[in-house]
Amino acid sequence: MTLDGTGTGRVPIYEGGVGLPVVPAGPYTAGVGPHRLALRRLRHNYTALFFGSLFLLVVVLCLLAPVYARYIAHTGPNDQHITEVLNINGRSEDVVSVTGVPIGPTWHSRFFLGADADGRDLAVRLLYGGRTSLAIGAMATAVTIVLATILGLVAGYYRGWADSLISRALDIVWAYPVYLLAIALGVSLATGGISIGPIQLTSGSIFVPTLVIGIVYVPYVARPVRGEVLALRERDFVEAARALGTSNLRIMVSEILPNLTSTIVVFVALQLAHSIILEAALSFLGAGVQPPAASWGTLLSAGAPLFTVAPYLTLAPAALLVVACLGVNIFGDGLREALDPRATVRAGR
Amino acid sequence: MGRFLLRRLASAAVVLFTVSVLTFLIFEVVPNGNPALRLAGRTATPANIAAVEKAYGFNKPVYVQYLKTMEEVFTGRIVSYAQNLNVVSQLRQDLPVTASLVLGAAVVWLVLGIVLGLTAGLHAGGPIDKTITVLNFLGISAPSFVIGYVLIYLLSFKLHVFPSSGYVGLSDPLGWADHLVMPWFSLAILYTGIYAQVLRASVVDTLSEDHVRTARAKGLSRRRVLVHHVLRTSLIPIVSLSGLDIAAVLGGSAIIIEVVFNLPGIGNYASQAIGALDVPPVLVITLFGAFAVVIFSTIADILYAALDPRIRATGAR
Amino acid sequence: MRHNHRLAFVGASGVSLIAIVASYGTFGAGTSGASAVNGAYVPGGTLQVSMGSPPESLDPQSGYSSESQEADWLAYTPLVTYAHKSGLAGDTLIPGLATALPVVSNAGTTYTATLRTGLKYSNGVAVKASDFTYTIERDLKVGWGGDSFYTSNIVGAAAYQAGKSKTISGIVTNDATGQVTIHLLAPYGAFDNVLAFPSSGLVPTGTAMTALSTNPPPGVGSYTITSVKPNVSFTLEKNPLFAGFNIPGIPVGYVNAVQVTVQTNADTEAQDVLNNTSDEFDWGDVIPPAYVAQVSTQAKGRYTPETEAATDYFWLNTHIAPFNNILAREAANLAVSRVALQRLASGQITPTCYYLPPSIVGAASGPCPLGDPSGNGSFTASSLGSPADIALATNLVKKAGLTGAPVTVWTENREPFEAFVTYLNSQLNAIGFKSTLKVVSSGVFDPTIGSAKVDPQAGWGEWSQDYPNPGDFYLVLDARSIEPVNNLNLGYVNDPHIQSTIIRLDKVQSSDLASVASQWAALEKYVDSKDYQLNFGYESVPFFLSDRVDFATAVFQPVFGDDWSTFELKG
Repeated sequence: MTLDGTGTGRVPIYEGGVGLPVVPAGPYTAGVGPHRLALRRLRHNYTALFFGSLFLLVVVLCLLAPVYARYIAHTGPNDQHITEVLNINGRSEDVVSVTGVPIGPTWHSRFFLGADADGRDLAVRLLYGGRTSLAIGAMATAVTIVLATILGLVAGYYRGWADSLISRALDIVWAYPVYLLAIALGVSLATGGISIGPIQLTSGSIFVPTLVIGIVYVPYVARPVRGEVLALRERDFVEAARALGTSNLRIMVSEILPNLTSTIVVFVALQLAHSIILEAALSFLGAGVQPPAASWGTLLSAGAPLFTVAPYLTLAPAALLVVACLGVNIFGDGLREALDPRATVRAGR
Repeated sequence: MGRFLLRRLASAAVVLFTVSVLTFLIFEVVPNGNPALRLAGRTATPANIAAVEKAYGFNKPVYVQYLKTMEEVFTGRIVSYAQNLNVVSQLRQDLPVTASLVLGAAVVWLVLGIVLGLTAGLHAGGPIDKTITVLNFLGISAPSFVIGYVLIYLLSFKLHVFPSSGYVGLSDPLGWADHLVMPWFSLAILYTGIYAQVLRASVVDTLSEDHVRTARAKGLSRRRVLVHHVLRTSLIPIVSLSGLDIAAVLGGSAIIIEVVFNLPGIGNYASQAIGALDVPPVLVITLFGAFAVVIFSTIADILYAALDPRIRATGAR
Repeated sequence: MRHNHRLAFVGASGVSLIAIVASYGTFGAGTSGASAVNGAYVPGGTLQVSMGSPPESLDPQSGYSSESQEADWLAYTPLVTYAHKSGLAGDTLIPGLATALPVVSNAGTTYTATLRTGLKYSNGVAVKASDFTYTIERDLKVGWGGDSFYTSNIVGAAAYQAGKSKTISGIVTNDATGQVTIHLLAPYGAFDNVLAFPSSGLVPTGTAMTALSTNPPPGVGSYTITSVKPNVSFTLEKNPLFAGFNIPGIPVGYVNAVQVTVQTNADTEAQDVLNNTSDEFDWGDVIPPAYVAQVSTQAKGRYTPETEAATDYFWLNTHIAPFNNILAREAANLAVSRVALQRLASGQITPTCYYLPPSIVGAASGPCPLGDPSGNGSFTASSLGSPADIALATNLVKKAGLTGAPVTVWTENREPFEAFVTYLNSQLNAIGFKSTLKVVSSGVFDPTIGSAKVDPQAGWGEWSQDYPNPGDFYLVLDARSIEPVNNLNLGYVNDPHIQSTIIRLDKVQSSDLASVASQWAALEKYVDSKDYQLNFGYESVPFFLSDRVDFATAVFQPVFGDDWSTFELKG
């Protein structure tokens, strides 16, 4: 599903914009390239910019995890302080009580957001977990975009049996229930690992969830790309290039690909959000990042049984996750609006 | 039309075959995953285990095992490794739960999505529109299980409005709904957001079109215009998309929601079976999920083909 | 037995995130057929019981889990059984279907008992002495999980199981006199306990030689198992024939029926018992940390933690690096704080460094004799794991030249066991090892760690009594238990002193255990000084009932748990 007006995932996303008031082209926009125009539109979209910077804020915070851990919290993400006693405002409290209930947010430098059931500093784990989740999200997005672009290009340009083959493969990937595939892979790798040539895949490796998430979304992106390529290949400039005798590969890369950038750029933002959410879901089910490593998903899963006595264990990672995804989603929507050729710069905003 | 149908059915068969082979292979490749170890019991000696392997045919080549398993699947005789129970009968017990969950959620997201989308579109640009849009994006940005836990915390733990887990059969309709309200909303919020955005855009688009302006100029009320033009055109793709999304949910979010709310559906059964490296239920449920996706996308394709003659001719899709 | 705690089916993080089938209905709180007399306890009614995971089979010759035994011991009385009493009194053996405890002769190799007269199964068929032989043969043919207790003790049992003979030559019966004579290969002091297993509970000759999990055979007992819905529920109904047999010491039962329903979500279970929708919290489940406070206050008169004869420990593989080096083992022992583990278990274990639980004869106590020469009684179970100990441990690892040695620690994905090993993992890292955590799904945990191919280095283990005898616990440390698959002795402990002691002490009759208690205690201290296994806690289990049940008279049997035949309901 796309977030614009069509939502079929099969049709190029430009059809059906959101009906922005249109300003006819004039001296303000004459002679400026489409991408520069897009940037200008984006610059005036304050909502998108605000939410985009929220996302960036989360990213920066997470990247600063080691700094926070070392200088503020004075503990690592896996250090357990079960029997430690803290002195807060004159009161002493166990980090983990005798009945196994961890301490709540202290709002001090140590255990700022409290401890988890294993006596680890939640704030530190939150930031380190964010690093892992964001890293997996970014890498998975890269996998999706690269694969989908290549497959969409080849399928849309060559058509015929290449198209049939690729489309069938995409159908298979799309039909396979995502969570079952991920859990099955996770569980089967847990008891051992797989070595395919030089690549070693064990259950602890984050490449497993990265690959799974990346591959699972390929059909979602590849189909619209393919649709666009199908349309683009009939255009005059492609005809002209062919008449000039340019090789197919060069046509795909130099003529068609640049026209896909707008689509792809929007998908990057969308996929980032999708990947982060899917990673959280998989780690929550135990099929993604393996303990004791932190990721927002494993934090959510660890916090769940204590939800009634220590809701912050679940709410903190949830909040950060939602803010990050919200940020990237709204920014992505703003990007899409900005890149839409039918929408022009709104004068006097 | 007939040829198109045949082609779609043929590709559906290919998809299902590949899915089954893949599932089978994932568990075959597993080291230490020998099901005979678990079947033979906790105090089995190597001799016992070898005997079990022979009895179940685990020492035969992969493709022989595959064919045997698939035969059992299609004759309905397939039995799980871990519990010696017929998988199909277990599924028949669990299916009403998952169906209640997914179909109920679909109703919720369609109704809510349409209502919110219409409202936002009619008041485009205004504060109502902006609020609804933000809510939509929130719905898209939160994982369903997070929403589930928040709902449990607020509505079950704090306010004691709904029970936090479990399933009650349809024989007690009030109890049935009581236990499903929170799961429905947890599943539906994502799609509500998506559909509301889609419908909003569609409404805004249609309202600015010429023939609509003409109709308005002629004196038709906004509501009539809306019903006649907007809903009619937007509803068909939305409903067929719902079909696709239902299929996607079956193999996706439904599993996680069943786990969070402890609903004894097929998703829960599947994840437990995977945990026990129990291939038969996983195989059957994966096929079921894939089958649902294939069926719904074929129906959606047929609908589109029926509506758009160009697609039928080229057979492109 | 290993893994008393509810098998396999509860998923990650305690709140059964991956659960099988939760309860299929609300508990119909009804008491049926009871006469109300101002809240007094009256016979009749239906007891509603929650079980955290379902019995794998209710067939007595097939079911090996504590879930199945809890039901089977009431429905299938063996020749000998346990007293229906709480505490240590419940460890005593009393005659069941036999007129008296077996007479032991021929230097402990012959057991003779006589069947009571007039006994009938729940379907009305008369009980004969030869049914005992058939029952044991059925154990071997169906493949009961503990069948080695029979094959390694009874003459001719192994041959029968291998198919080499048509019957077990070591059991001789006389249907006319009702006499049963059993010949053992060698004296085995705990054989009376073997006769008291529910798997030794008599079933009629001719019962099918396959597991009848969903339609269990008839038996002699206060209750009969009916309407089994696998993974969902089962019912026990009062057996009207049983009262007529007048077997002393075995209650005929008060409630008319026991309705057991599977509820894998421990939170829901706790809630249900708190608000009296369910009458019993499964003792094999842990009260979730979120509810501990609530249960201790709100359910004051109907909740006690009972000490179970079960010990949690970390096993250390002593035949490969790094734990083949005693310094490494000592270091690990020092670094593991038993108090921390107690907190991870929500306070539901008692810290210890010894193996045998206090209810078992021969249990040791006192300071932990770690091998380090600087310890003079300063190491106790509650003090281990202090920062000073960690510093000491780090030095030991350095001394052994094992800093940076890779270790993999194994756990199943259930709480609190995963939390235990997560802690072990972080402590091993703290003292200088390079430790990684491997979480394996519960369904495959046992076969995985029990496999010689995997040869795991360390992980969590638990032993709960099959019967109240130290010899049962020491199966884990017995070199003869080492197997290439389903290995029990995960530490690969092969110590000549342990072997000779066990072999000698196993010959002692259960009734004479007190006389060798000090020798078992000495063995305990020896084992602890070698750090073969890091024992860390004796489990306590929740005896937690609704207020419909008369808590004062309800029995928590030390071997089988909640004794439903002693539960009375308020009218």
